[in-house]
Amino acid sequence: MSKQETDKYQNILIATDLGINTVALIERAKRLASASTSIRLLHVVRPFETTFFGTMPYIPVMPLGDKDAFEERVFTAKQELFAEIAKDHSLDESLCIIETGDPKERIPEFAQANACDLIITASQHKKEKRPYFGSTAKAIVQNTPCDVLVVKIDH
Amino acid sequence: MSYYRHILIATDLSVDTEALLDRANRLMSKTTKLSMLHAVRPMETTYFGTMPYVPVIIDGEEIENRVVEAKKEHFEKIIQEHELANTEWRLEIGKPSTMIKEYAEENMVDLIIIGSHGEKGVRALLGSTASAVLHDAPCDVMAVRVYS
Repeated sequence: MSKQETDKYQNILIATDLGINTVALIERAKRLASASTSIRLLHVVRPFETTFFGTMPYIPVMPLGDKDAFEERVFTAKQELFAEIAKDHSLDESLCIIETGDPKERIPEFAQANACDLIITASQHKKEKRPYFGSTAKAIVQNTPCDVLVVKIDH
Repeated sequence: MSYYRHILIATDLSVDTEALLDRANRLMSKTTKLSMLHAVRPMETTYFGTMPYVPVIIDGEEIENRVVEAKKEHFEKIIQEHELANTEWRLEIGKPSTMIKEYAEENMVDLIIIGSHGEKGVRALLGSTASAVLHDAPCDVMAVRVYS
């Protein structure tokens, strides 16, 4: 085993859904990081249409034509939350990024583009007895060449 | 900052074990306990489950015992090579994902390290064992991409 191999991760990506589990993910990242490690935080917002019209059996009541404004508001609110998280955990704010797209594709793409060597993500652990492994977490493990740490979180 | 207290390496005893051990080294502190587990699928399920005919096996049990013996030796060799004298290692007979989950639950494992097969750049299927472990594990799971 060469020395380089046993070195710490240099480029950690935290893929978060902005839930309360984000804190647990950041805690894991700090555990695994060395002083020179850069920690990136990524949240991918699903485009509004796919979130709503894809899964809902009815059309949500929304003032017509105001969809963009609504989406904009959600995005801004998330950005503010993100900035707060970054500040609370003393992360570099320029490395905390919100993108729009399909998380299953965007997260692996982002990891590759930024040469990340570890992705930390949460697996949804629903209230049922049987643990449930989220489809996004699975897609990340499948589609990335780097290590993936899947954090179990009990609700 | 708290580190993992008990790390379990779920190994298929292939050369990929090297990569898994390397990751464990990265994540360990001095007080972390390290265990290794290899599960041998019982022969009946390997054969009779997948083959359309009944193989001619004169003494199935004898063959299984020999396989287990050989794997044990191989496992011991890995342990010696990597100077893992303090590592608890176990060879179990059973469905790998179930054995891994049970071991993790009984021994308060807080991180499982497992290899996931796949070819670079290809949307490869996740190994079924890795997938099942990710599903059922009671703790964190580190999936390490291996290429062999």
